[in-house]
Amino acid sequence: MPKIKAPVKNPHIDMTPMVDLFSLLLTFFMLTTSFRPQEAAVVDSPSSVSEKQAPDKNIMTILIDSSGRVFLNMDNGKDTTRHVRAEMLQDMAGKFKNYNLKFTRKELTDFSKLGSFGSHLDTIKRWIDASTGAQRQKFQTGMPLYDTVNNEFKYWIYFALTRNPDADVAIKADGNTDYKKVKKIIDILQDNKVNKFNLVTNLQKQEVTLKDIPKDAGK
Amino acid sequence: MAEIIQDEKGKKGGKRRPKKHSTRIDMTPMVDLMCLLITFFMLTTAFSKPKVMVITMPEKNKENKKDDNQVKIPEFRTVNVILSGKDQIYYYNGLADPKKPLPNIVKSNFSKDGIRKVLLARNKDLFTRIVNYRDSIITGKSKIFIYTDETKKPVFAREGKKVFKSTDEGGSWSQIPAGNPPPAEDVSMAQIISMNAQLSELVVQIDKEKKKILKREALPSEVNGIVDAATKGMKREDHKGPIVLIKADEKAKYRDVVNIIDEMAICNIASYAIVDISPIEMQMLNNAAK
Repeated sequence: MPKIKAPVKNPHIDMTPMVDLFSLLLTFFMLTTSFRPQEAAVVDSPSSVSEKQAPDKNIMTILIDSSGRVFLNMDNGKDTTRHVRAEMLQDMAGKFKNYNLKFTRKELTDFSKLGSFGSHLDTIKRWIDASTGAQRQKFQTGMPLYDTVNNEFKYWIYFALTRNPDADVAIKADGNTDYKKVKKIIDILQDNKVNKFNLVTNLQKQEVTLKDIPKDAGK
Repeated sequence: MAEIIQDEKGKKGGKRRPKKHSTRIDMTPMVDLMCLLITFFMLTTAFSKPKVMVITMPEKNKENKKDDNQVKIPEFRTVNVILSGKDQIYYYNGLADPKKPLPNIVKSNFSKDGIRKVLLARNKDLFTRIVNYRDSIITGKSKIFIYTDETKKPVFAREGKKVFKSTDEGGSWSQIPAGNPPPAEDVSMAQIISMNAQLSELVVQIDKEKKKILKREALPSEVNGIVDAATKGMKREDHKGPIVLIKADEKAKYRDVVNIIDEMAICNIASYAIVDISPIEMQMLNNAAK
């Protein structure tokens, strides 16, 4: 009997379960990713070998871009019962009575949810009320701090640390910022009894072993 | 050719079958896109944690601005590093006293052969000790034991003669300074407790609450914290290494300061501080730049 060869069919794998699984995984990741709030300015941090993680809760971040503009970002506190940002804003309104700032409840809640900010007190209401991100960005001009008359930054820090004394302080400055501007920020923070700073950097490992010690190591 | 024409004619003449649309959709491009999207989301969730470098500044005191108020540091240990802009880094040894001849100022850079070589040469002993210590822990030559109470909460740790206690923030340790050093290498817990006052206090506390002390080997995740604490302890006890004073002038950028503090960590420098630049040094810089 001649052997009947069954015709070889190309196997078609049914992809439906695979696509199904992919959709599930994708939905999971889409829901669990929390996007970072838009930062006020693009900052290119310098690199260091430090591998320590930044604390993600209860932290105050000071952003300094390459031209020296300063922005402040503050957490709302250790847990959801604290409303540090809203309290800070009202303290500033109370201190600078000449601007005559009055915030509605909605403005206070909006402010609590926003990210880093840096504008003169007279434009801050318009910043909070801006409807789109692009419009909001127009008001981010950086905080005034370099002239002693209008040193709003000093008061923001003072009220932030009064309302939340155990917050960590992080400084995220661009590599090309003049050091003297960063030093000014550090001086203001030291005036407010902060002596421990977290400088935000990118990780770049360096391998240094005993072989790197120069052979003629004397004095 | 005639045959072909005939064939076509034949086909036309035959039954007209409507074209059957295949109901099979090729899923490959869709799976491809899904794959890409998932990879994107998997990677972006990992990106959000930035790293930090911790620096501690000495407290400012505004009242006394006299130089005499500064703590006396031995001149032979001092290395002054002056930053003056992109890759402009100078250093000199000792102190610059206007009444005495000025020390020699040397230009350097941030490469491997620059300031790092200078600092490694000055800090040879401490650097070697720290590297050897880390190696001995990683290769397992020295073991770390963790002592916990009944609730498995770690209370203190021991590595050879060094004792550490865990701090309130989970995962951090600090070394308890030794009392009288024990006579032999191989010491029992009882001997260490009898010689280390702080440790015996801890043990007494646990004893009072009628809790037992359990001993176990350290997990890899705890080893890093303990090695860091030991390194800090070694730096604190060092009295021979260089004291680096970092000064930045008007032209220095933030990146330069971060780089030099990084070099401090790489070369395991025990003590360094960021201080203000003095007029004499500005003059020395001007002379050196020529």
